[in-house]
Amino acid sequence: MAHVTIDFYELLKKGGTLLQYRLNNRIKNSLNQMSVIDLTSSKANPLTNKIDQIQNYTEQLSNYINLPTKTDLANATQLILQSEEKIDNLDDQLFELTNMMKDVKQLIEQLGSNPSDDYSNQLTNKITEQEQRISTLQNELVQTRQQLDSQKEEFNFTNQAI
Amino acid sequence: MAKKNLANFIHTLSYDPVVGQSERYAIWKKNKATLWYYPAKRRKYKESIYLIYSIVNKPYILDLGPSMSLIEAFNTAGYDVYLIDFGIPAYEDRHLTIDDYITKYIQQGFKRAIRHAGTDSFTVIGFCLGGTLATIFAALDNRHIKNLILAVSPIDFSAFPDYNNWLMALRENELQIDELIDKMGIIPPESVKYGTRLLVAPLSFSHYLALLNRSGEKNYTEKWARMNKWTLDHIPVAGETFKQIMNDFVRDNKMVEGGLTINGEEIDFSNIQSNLLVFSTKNDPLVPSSLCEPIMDLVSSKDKSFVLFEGGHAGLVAKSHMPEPMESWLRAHSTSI
Repeated sequence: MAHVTIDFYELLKKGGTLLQYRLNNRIKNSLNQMSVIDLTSSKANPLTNKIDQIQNYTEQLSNYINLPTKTDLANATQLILQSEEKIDNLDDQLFELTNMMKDVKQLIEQLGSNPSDDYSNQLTNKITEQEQRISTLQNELVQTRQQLDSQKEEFNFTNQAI
Repeated sequence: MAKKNLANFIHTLSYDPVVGQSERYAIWKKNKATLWYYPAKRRKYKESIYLIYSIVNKPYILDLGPSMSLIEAFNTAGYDVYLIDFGIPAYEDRHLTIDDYITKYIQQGFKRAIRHAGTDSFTVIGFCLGGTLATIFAALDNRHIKNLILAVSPIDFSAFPDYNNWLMALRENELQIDELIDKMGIIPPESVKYGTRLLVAPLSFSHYLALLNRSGEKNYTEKWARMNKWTLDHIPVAGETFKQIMNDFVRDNKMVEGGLTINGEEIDFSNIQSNLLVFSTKNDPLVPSSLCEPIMDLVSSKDKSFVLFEGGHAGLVAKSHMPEPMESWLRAHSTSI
């Protein structure tokens, strides 16, 4: 007669998985009732108001005890992020300019070995485009500088407020 | 023996494994996001891989550890890999939208990857909600995406069998959560964790029984500890992003019904002409295949395949090799150098 080995842990796993599946189905069914949805819906507004009140109290309290709030810190961080984004854009433009320089260099080499009107026109166009890009870049740098100045002022204002 | 297994079981529960061990370099950073570069052991293909992961979990599920890492499998097979890691959003990121994720992070990161790789032909792979974002990105700018792979990525939100009444209430505006989300600013990781759990399995203990059953197997306990760590390791979601997911994706089902805009530009999925591989798994209560498959009818790709695997939501990526037919598909659609 052959021996039948019962693996307790294997049985436990299979039974447990089945039990979990059934319990979860029951919970999901219970949660998927209109009464639960109505209850959630009716509690959403009061909860929003409560959070609003607590946040207002915290803001007021932080004024008295001179502590920065999460909003103050978030605003300050936002300024850094704006600058970071600007620098990122400038970096992109510099990269494009570098690529254009490579094109110009190639055209000059071609013009040297084979002087023609076509290459000459292409070169003039490239240089004009590059000049425009540089001018745009300069404007953006001025804007970034202005933005940084205004951010600095805003940051000082925030520091005074907190 | 039973005593030893029990000791292993207890040890595994308290063990905090080191994840994300593949060789990598940060090549671009913005706010909390980082573009990681994982070099191939020996680069064999012209097309590099650009990975886009979900915005509700940490991406280290793609690199759980040696011999259980999809990224390692890509590198070993000869592909250079770039991963856009969105980082962990904080309160100052509460106004971050899906539009921002697409244009400021995914698109910008992709530009940087092109610049770094020295090639403008890529395979873009999106996982879970990252696949949804990858689809939108591919529709917005399809120029450099030779291949698009979507793994367990929800597209069609028209039905949630377990919570159909909730979906109906949301569609009929009986459930208003926008104001609450605005006040909260960001959705804390605990809420993301328990929200996901409610969708999948409100009560979850069978994985402990599975561990108890196989606590004597070293490889199994290693993988279990890493998977368990990731499962519990959710990140906060920016309030504006969450509202867009709930309103545009779930309530209005704009991915399929149309009307989805990114920075004011209407998204047309028929712009996608890349070779497309979509895969889904049979036992995935979070993103069942019915949510993934409809993308097949929305794109213009001539070469497109849909594959349904055995297994669950995250099981496919935590292996030492790419799941087949992904490996052969990728090889066939990449250019050898």
